[in-house]
Amino acid sequence: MYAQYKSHDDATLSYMEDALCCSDTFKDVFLLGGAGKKAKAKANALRTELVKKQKVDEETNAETWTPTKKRREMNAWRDYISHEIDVSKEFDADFDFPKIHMMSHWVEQIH
Amino acid sequence: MLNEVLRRILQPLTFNHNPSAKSRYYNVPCADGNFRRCKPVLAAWLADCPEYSDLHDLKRHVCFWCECPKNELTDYVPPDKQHPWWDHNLSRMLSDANTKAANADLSLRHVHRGFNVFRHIPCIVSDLPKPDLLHTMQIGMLEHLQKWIFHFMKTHKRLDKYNAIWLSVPAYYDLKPRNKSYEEVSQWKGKEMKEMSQYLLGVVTHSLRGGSPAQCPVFNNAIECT
Repeated sequence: MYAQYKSHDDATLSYMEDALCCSDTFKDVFLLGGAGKKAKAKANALRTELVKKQKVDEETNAETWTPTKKRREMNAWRDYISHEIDVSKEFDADFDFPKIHMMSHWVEQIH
Repeated sequence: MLNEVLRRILQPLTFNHNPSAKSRYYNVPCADGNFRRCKPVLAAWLADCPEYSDLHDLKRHVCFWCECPKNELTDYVPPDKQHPWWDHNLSRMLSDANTKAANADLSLRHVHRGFNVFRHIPCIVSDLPKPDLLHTMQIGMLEHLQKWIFHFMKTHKRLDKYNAIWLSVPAYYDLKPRNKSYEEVSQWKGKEMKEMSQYLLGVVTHSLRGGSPAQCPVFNNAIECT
């Protein structure tokens, strides 16, 4: 909103600087959503690999598992895969793109 | 090709073409038939990030104002701790030298080799880019922020509430009534983003109301960041 002001004085520029600083402090909360193409591709590769392992596990134990046990195991696998995907995305995600950095120069450029 | 086209367009400003350009003043024929001593200076050039990278012969995903390392783009830099501005004179000298060491240095600095017309005309190349509300904020950061919020709402199972509140924002002053939720719009325009920035924080805040004690700190952080 501050960036859209048609004119600025020292006070509005300092508000903008404070807002930027505050936003930077809390931006990690959106880290999963900030996963880029590379992080998503890596997470998808991990998902494929884990699904393969899940199938192998299912086929190996097909004869010994009761239907209830099988359902429980599959649920556990699903949670495990989902958790691992989130961890992978969070690990690889970052906010390293020029536009987020350009905001640091915004106030200086208006000056 | 881009540099060749720019070279031809900006040729009257180059030092080589007009030696008196060194003093930055030369005679220019004006519309009234008289000649005047003029000092043309290239002062600003508005473009989006990739275009700036091409114009300045920098590699992609590099700040065109300062020499901030690629892996530090995410960090907020306070005004008093900014990285040094690009030294385009050094880039020109390295490019002209065209030695192995110079090329390696250029590559390390994320600068492409070759002729760049901006480095041959009287202007401060690092000062050409100006704050660009449309590309940096409206269809830049706001679009990123929207995606992050969308993903956040989906993860915390608040997307339905978010969409419902989004659609219920009433028409007021220059706000038009909404009939599509965020994900139903295939492409956002700058004007729509500008409108959206007026109610986004309110929609996010209301969507994240009433979380469990464990969710509250996370939700508060999301609101603060927005």
